[in-house]
Order: sequence, then C-alpha cells, then structure tokens
Amino acid sequence: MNEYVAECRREWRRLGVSSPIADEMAAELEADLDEAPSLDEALGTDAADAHAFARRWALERGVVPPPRRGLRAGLVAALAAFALAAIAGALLMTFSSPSHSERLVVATVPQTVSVLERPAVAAALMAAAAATRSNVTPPPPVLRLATIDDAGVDADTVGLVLLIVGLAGFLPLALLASRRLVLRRA
Amino acid sequence: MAVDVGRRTQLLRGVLDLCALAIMAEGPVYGYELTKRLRERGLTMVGEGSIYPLLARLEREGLVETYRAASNGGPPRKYYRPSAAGSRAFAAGISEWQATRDALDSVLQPEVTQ
Repeated sequence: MNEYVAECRREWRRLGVSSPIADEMAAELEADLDEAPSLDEALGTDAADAHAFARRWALERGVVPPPRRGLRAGLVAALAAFALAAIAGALLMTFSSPSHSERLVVATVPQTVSVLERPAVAAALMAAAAATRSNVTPPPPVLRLATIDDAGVDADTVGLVLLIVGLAGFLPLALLASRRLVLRRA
Repeated sequence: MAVDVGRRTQLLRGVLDLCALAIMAEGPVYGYELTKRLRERGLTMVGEGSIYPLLARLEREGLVETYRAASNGGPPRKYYRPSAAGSRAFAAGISEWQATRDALDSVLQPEVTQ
C-alpha cells in the first residue's frame, strides 16, 4: 500500500473509523493515486498532510463524530476558573499568613511608636530595645506581639482551600488538555 | 495574484457541489477523474484534496449513488453518479445559482444588466 494511503488508513483507525470503512476509503484513494502522475498532482496541498486530509474526509463522510467545540470551550473555561482559584488562594495565603497577621508592636508607654511587619526586623528591634533598656532612662520601649487582624486566620484558611481546590482541578485538566493536544498533533 | 486566487477559491467553495453534480450528470466519475474534468473546464483552483471529502458529504446526504467497477488493469474504482435526490438538488441549486448570479451582476456590473 502507498505510504500516504497507509498513513490515512492509520489516521482513520485512530479516529475510530471501522476497519471495513477505512479499508474501503483506502482502496478508493489508492486506486485513484495509481492513475495520478504524482501525489501532489492528485491531492495538491493535502499531499503534505495526510492526517488533516484523512480527518476531513472521515468527518465529511460522517464516520467520525464532529469536533466538540462546546467541550473544548468548557475545558478552557474550567482551566481558567481553577487557575484563578489557585492564584486567589495563593494571594490570600500570602497576604494573610500568620507572619503578617501577627505584628510586633514597638511602643513606648503610652504612645505607639511603630508597627513592624517583618519578624526579622522586629527581632532586631527587640534586641535593640533590650540594649536600650540598659542604657537609656525611662520610658523604655515596650514590645509585644499582637494579632492586628483576627480575620486573617479565616482568610488564610479560605486561601488554603482555594489553592488546593484550584490545583486539584487545574492539574488533571491541564494534563488532559495537553494529552488531547499531543494526540491531535500526532 | 494570491488575493484573486483566494477569492475565486472562496467563490467556488459554495458551488463546488453543484459543479461536481453537473459533471456526474454527464456520466459516472471516480474521484480523480472528477478532479481532472473540473480542471479541464477551467476550475484549476479546485483544491484537489477537497474532492474526496466533498464526494463523501454528497454520499452521506444521499445525493450520489456509488458502485465499484474494475479499471483497466488497476484496482477497482469507486464511481459516483447523482441519485434521484441529487438530481433534484442539482436542479434547485442551478436556480439558486442563477438568481444569485443575476443579483450580483446587478450590483457589480449595473451597466451590463440595465
């Protein structure tokens, strides 16, 4: 069998065309190609892409289901939704994590001096404050760890849930989508 | 020019089934023979590979009948000819084509049609 015809037949079988129909289409094509001076002469630009040609032929003949555009659109929409959920979850977790909700307050009595959001800087300040206490007369700074935003804990949980749901939905769908893409190009 | 070829291809796409039915009405043809005969009539822009999907669609829609017959020394070929429904569709298509052509002519070549 002509290599081009064999390629078409493989594509038809891969698309789910029954063996007798694939054989019949292959026989028709092969008989015609026998007469043509060249593949290009018989099929023109389709000579360069047996898969596309075979797919179009099978589709028009009605022996394979038409491409499900609704399914593809749904897949893209679901991927986007899960990705957005994961990103939103990650952002929530980042900006409402305990290291941010619990803030170190450096204060003199009775006036608040500053609010620090970086534990490392806070630790340095605590050390500095301790040193200051020995050298400076009152009022020494009072350092305390305070939870500024109690709602941060809830946001953190919500963020975690969103991240897990987003990733759990996105990863399998992305795998499925890439597999369909690879199969289509193969 | 590429633009002209593209436009002619687009124009042909809508009536290629009628052209195929017209050729078949003259006598049964196989796929490659149909391609050659369309080219002989000046339709050189026919996408060669588009003939087989077109024939498949006509067959699916019941507009053509097929049969296999031995060729000269080669493998049996699949021949196509219009079915009764295909002949009716062809006649209706000719009327549509003429009406469309007249309407287009009146727009594109008003001095000729008036």
